[in-house]
Amino acid sequence: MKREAGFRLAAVAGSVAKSVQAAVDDLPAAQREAIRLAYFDGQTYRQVAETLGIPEGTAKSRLWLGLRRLAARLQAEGIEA
Amino acid sequence: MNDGHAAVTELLGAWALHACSVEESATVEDHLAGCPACAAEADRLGRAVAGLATTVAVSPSARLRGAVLAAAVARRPAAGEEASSGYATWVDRFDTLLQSLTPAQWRERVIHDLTVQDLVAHLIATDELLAAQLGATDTEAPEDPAELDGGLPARRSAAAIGEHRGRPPERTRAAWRAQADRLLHDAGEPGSLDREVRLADPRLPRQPLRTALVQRLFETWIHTDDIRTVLGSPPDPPNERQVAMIVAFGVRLLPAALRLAGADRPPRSARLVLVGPAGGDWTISPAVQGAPARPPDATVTMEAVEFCYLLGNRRDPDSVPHRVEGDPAAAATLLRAATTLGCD
Repeated sequence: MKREAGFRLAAVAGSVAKSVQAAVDDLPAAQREAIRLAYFDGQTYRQVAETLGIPEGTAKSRLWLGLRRLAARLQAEGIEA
Repeated sequence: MNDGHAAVTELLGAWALHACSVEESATVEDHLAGCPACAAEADRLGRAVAGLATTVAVSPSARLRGAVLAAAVARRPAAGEEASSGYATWVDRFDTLLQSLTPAQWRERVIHDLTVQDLVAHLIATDELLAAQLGATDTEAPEDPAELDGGLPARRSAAAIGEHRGRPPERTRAAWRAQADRLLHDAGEPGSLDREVRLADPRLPRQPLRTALVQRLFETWIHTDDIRTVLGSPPDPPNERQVAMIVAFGVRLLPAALRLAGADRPPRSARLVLVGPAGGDWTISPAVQGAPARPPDATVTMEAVEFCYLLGNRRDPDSVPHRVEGDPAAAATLLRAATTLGCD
């Protein structure tokens, strides 16, 4: 006999995805684009730098700052307590 | 040293996104082992990346090597004292709950047709499998894995349930509590936490006592939760560090659980992304350590606390909220193996 996860938990999982999406949408465009290339397209930071025509150091710091902002926002919303 | 620190700080974002070279990753991971500040930052960034996983419908990059965050987790100081105090916390909570029960509530059916009293007797039996090893002297002959009996916990449990039926519930509670206190006392002896012991299922590889205590914490929480659910009390989940310990326990033993389930032929692997507090990102492969790594066949994403319930066999692999990308069979195999790591 297992307890069903139920709608509440499914709704929680869905709302997490929605909050993360909103947090990503609110990132500065330059950081969002760098993260998109690294995470969704699987580029290394060197490839990100090349794609965007920016120095490698800038690519590294955009990834870092974008993730930090994302982490802080999710933490503030209690998603990553 | 300072130069190394600055270089690593710069790389942390790219590293968390698996977007630096293998050599750079190794440099970062070596640094994290000795720098708590960077390790904490890496942890935060890793959770943001785990959060990203909930928003994608496609596998995020075939290049992912996975296991990178797991390496950071594995390098954290081992949680010996923490496992012991976490278990003590749940012993207290379970005891408080039991002491609040009316005679009628002790007879309520909780799960698998067991009453509350049956469930406590079952817990006495599984705790005893560990407690007996601590009382024993240290040297035991190495066992032949083929002779280890996977049916042992169920038989012990059935015997204890039979023994306690008809006794006053208070005696069952007191017997459980006294044994749990002895267990905690023995675990507090110098050097005990590193001692290798058998888990409830003796077929799993022997583990340091610290890991076995996480299993005790885990089972005591699950049964507290079982009873609270029947009573209609709101859930009282483990805190973030306790969830992290349970997750680490599951991740550590999943490869062995897959092998026990005969799910290692063919040796499919899966990437497990857990989101929420105590989340992380691991690649689980039934291959023995040292075997060549291969890209995961599937990615499974779910919340960390839901994963704990799954480990406790309190969620159905089909209905637990999760997302699968890649080979559904590899994902299903992983989820089914996870449900065998509880103590039912």
